[in-house]
Amino acid sequence: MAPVAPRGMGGVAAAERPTAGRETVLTVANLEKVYGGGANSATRALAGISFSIDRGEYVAIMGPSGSGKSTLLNCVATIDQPTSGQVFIHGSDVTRMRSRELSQFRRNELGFIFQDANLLDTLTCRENVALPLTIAGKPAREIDQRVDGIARRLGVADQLDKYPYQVSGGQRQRMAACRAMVTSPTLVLADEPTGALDSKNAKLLLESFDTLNAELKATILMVTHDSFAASYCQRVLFIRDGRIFTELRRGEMSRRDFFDRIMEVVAMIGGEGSDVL
Amino acid sequence: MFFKLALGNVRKSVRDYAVYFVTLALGVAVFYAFNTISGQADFLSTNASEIVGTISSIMTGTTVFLAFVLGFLMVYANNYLVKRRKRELGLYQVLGMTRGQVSSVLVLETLMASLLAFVAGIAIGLIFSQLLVFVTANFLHDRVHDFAFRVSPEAMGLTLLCFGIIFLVMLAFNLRTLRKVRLVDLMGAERRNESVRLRNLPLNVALFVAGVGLIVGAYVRLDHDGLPVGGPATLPAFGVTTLMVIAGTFLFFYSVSGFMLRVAQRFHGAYYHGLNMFTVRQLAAKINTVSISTGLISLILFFAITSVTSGLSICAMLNQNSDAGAPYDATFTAIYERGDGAGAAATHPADIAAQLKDKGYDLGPITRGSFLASSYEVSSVPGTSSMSLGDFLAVSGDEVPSVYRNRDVATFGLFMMSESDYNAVRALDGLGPVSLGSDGYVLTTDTTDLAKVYSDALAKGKTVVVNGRTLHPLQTEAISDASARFENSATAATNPGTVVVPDELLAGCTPYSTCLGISYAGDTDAADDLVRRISRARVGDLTENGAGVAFLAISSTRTDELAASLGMTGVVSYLSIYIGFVLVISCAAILAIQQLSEASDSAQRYRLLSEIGCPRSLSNRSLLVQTLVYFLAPLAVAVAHSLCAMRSVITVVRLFGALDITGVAATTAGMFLVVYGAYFLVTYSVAKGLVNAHTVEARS
Repeated sequence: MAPVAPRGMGGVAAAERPTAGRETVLTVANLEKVYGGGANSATRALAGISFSIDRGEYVAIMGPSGSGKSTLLNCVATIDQPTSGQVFIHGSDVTRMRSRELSQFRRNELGFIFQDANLLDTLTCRENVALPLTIAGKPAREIDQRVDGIARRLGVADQLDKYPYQVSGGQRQRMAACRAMVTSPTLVLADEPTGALDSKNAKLLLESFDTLNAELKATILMVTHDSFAASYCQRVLFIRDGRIFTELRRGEMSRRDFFDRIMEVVAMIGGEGSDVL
Repeated sequence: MFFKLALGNVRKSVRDYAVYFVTLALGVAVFYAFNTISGQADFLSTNASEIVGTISSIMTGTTVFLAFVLGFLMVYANNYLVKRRKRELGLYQVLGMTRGQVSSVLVLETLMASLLAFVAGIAIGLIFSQLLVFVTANFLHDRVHDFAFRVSPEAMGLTLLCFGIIFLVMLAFNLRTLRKVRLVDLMGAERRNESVRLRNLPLNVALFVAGVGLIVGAYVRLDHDGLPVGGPATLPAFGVTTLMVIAGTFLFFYSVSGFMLRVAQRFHGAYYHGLNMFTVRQLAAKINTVSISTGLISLILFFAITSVTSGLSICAMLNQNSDAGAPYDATFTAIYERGDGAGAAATHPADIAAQLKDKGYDLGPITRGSFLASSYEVSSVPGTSSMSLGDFLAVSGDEVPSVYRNRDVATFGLFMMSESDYNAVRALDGLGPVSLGSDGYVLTTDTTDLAKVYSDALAKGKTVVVNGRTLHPLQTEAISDASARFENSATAATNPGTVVVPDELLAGCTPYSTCLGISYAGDTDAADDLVRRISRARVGDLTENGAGVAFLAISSTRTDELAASLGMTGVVSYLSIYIGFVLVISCAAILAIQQLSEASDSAQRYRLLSEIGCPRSLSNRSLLVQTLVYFLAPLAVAVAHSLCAMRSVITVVRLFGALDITGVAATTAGMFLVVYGAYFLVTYSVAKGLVNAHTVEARS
């Protein structure tokens, strides 16, 4: 593993980086997270993991239960504090930030999409999408324009003035995507976004992500255990036991072929089927 | 095993139990302190024993009332507790415990928390009642005797009994909840109920306008009609006004949130600023679901404010009257035998001072000035026309004053007094003499209600016939200054109407009573002591030519009268303050419980806010605004109601004497705000802790 990595230098993935001219958005270096106090009872959820993501990339993280993928996402999301190692987002080390800086950082640089859309039930969809902008203190007119713009792109513009419980689960999830994207964040983090959706709605959502990635050049990091969802990405990182097991790049492959490759790796490391073990 | 589980549960859910615990402890404290103080009503002097009877029945009523209020409060607080833990109780059953076993765990838990709260409450109550005694001693200028602090086992026993009953009722409610509910509901209790009622905008605006209209209408009506003191005929109108205000208040709270939401949304820029949108939506969703209880709280606060303010202003009035009611340092009153029974009829007034001196009580050394004034009934003066309230009413044309409506005004007789006796009274009061001539009379009374009737009759030239001579009124007003009082009584009027007539008309008649009034020379304490000794000793009959013709009925010092009056003031104050206090605590506690339960329901929302980068300061401010609005909205409406009501109350109280209510109102407001504010601060800080425990920052 590479030591502390400054901006623009990846860990394991550094050697494979295709084009030197691309800008690195996220660098995770030697990240370690240990739960529990005693030396013997401690659990290493992350065992010195390193990778980086370029601007405009669409990356999935896969791994069996307990592999540390949620811990990794939480550390990147600044929601959890790693035991050691660094997370650089847009050149800043988020592990060193104070709580006040962190909330500002989350507001400006990150967008979140959760498994359950997590919209506020007392607000209309429009207000939910507008919330990050009002917190950031943007003027009302700009807020209206941006909310309408992003909702049109994700095909939920006509649902904006309904309450979350009045729209379908898929629409709710796309509203959540709108909320994550409305601030044009550096990095969008999605935690099992298709987990609570049926296959049709899951497909619609993943296509929305594709649109965001292609048209708005959004950088998306998605944690999933769904191989089909992962097949929409350009790159899939597999983790096991708190470290990168391997990584797959889609390249010029068709989605069908990429899906098959992913399934092979999943079978090898004990993915979905082994979850219960 | 169950005991261990229950103990662990109480420890684990300290925060949930905190609200229950605090409410129970405060309830016990207030209840105990109230009953201790009401036991101390003994400090009232025997002169006011009639009042003591009334007051002790009021006290009993109040105690029952307090018990009900506190009981409701406990059940409410406990209900919140059980609701919060439904899921956990469901889990026990899923794991195979029987309902009976789950129930006993719940009973044990509640019992432990309650016992602890009871002990804490009694401790607070002891401190509280002692504190109040010091305040009172200061308030009564140390003029009340035997007012000492004591631990009251009776009050403690009563408190224990009362809360024991409340506890059992509460338990019955809990067990019923547990028995009625299905397991699937218990387990799903945590799932959010997402039915935010949507209301039609025009309907909402119409309801809001109707609510405000009803309230304003009621204000106008009350301001116009006043309080229903004019008798039963005015009651229906007052009832309509009351119903209007109640309906208006509920309508107002039912529609205000929707209305405010629309208004806020009109200000697009401000609405889309920071968390304003979130704050407004939270409030709207909340006040929607609790509009009934908010309206109720507002009305209870209204009731509390008016009853306390009215009570305290009555006290202020009593305090003012007490000085006027006891104009002399000491008075003695002799009542005469009628001559038809065992005793002989007197032919002239008894010289009380001389006869007391004969019996060994020399008033001479303590007397600087004195009067001896006798009152005569119509029946004991020959050739005298009927002289009753009815006769004067017939001339004045007034309606019968409400207090006398149930009496026979024709038999309500006036008294007569001779000119020189009356001028002696005036001299001791420092007033100039009246001169009646041969056929003039003046009329005195210290009864406010009747002064107007008499004055109206005098103005119309009402004549009276005394001892065969027709007398004409010299003045068009009844005299109601200090000279209208012949004996001390700080708590009641003593002169229902006395016609002062030329001396010769009463000569040789048997008096009804004779009053000796003195002003002290020298030390008041020593003089008071002598008068009290006379009062305690059975001095025997007053005699004329060796035959008993009268007996000394009452002797009273100004000091004792003022003490009695202050004692009564004290009791009325206590009643007002305690009722108000309990009501305010109840309202604040209900608000706190609702607010905390809402905060823990909303914790997920605040977590989301922090995840999307909302700084803690911003979300805390939103929570503060919500809590503040939630506490202030019912208070603001209650204060508005009270201000309007107090205008009418003051008008009525002023009939009994001039009144400065600003000091009283300020004290009341200050006291309420401290209690209410304390609840607000505790609620906010606990809610903040609850909410922040779930935010992202708390994890790192």
